[in-house]
Amino acid sequence: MLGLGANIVYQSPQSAIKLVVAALTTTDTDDENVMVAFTVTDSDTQAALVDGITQATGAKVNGTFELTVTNVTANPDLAGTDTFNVFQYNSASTSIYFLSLATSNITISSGDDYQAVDLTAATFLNTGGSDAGLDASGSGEIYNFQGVLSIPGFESSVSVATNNISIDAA
Amino acid sequence: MGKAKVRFDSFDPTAAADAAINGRASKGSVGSRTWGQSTSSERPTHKTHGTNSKLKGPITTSQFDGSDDHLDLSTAHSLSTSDAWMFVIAFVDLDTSSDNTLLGFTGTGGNPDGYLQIGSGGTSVKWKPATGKRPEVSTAINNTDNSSTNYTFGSDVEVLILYQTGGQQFYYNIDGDLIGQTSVDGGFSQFCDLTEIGGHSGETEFLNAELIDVRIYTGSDVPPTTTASLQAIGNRYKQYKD
Repeated sequence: MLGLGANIVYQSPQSAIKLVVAALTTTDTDDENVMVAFTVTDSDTQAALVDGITQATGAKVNGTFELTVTNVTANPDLAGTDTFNVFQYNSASTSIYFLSLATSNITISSGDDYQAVDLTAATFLNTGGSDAGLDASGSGEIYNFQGVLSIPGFESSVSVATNNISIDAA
Repeated sequence: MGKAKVRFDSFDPTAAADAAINGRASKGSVGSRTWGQSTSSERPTHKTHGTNSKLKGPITTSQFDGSDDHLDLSTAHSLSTSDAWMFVIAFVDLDTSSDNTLLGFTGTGGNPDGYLQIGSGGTSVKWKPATGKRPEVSTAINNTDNSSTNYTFGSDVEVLILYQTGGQQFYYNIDGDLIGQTSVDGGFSQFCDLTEIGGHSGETEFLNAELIDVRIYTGSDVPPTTTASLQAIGNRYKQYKD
């Protein structure tokens, strides 16, 4: 029986598919309450986000988004990170998603329901684990946004960013 | 800095495609004001995300047809010459074949018709004080006579930032570049009223573009006029460029 396994090809463990985020955008629809959205054009990433999901406007989809926001007008800069759930922007599209701390589907009744990232929230933590105080007591104006999309079973996206964005204080 | 006193925000993801815009709330800090148009045929049209190939992401716009579309503010907003002002106006698909009115003002006495326009060809900014006593002031922006940058407004995503303080008006583009300045003051003795976007009371020279955002800041709410701040204001809209 010697030599029976000689032609067996041992495959390496299958590589996880890498998630791809095309762009990150912000819309400050009402002072520091910001809509943070990302765009996906990669078909594998689109499929991973909505796999097993009943698609709908405001539907919670798969994955999380670790968002780091930096107030660059503060001196020194103030940076905070929070992990958000991901929601479908519009039922007719699998290319745009927005972030919220909500844990289940969001009922969208007006544009205000999209502005789910509150820069004044104490949930943005600095590297020491404390409230980052991102809004610098309302004096801040210019912010950087960057983040990474993660879905279990997939390789996380590279960091995407939109930088030096003016946000009105309340 | 603070929030804009008056704002027209085209971002309305729940509005139906091509819906006529009427009664939209101002998102400025001065509450209970709406932008509307009593004549149905003169209402701008809501454009949903993805309908303009020059834009990406979730942004939506308001299409002004250049023929008669304009919106009136339900309660005029008074501007005082004793305050600094900043107007931030973002748009796309500007048709520069004729003058485009961005804002309309009314004043008291004489001819009450005032406006802020981008001149035909996209090569000038025009300010007409809301008084019959002052003529229109046209500032060329397609040279560096009064600025650091030679600029012409076109059909891509564009921003006009007007900053007025004392007897000076300064104009900036989406890159935060100074594109023009003039020594004209507000052109009125004490106050004038912001009443319209997309037209003025003379009812000519309507806006022909898709409007993204209009913000009116006054006094202590005016954003800093540093290069970094002006660029960050432009970046707010530049990120939507496809």
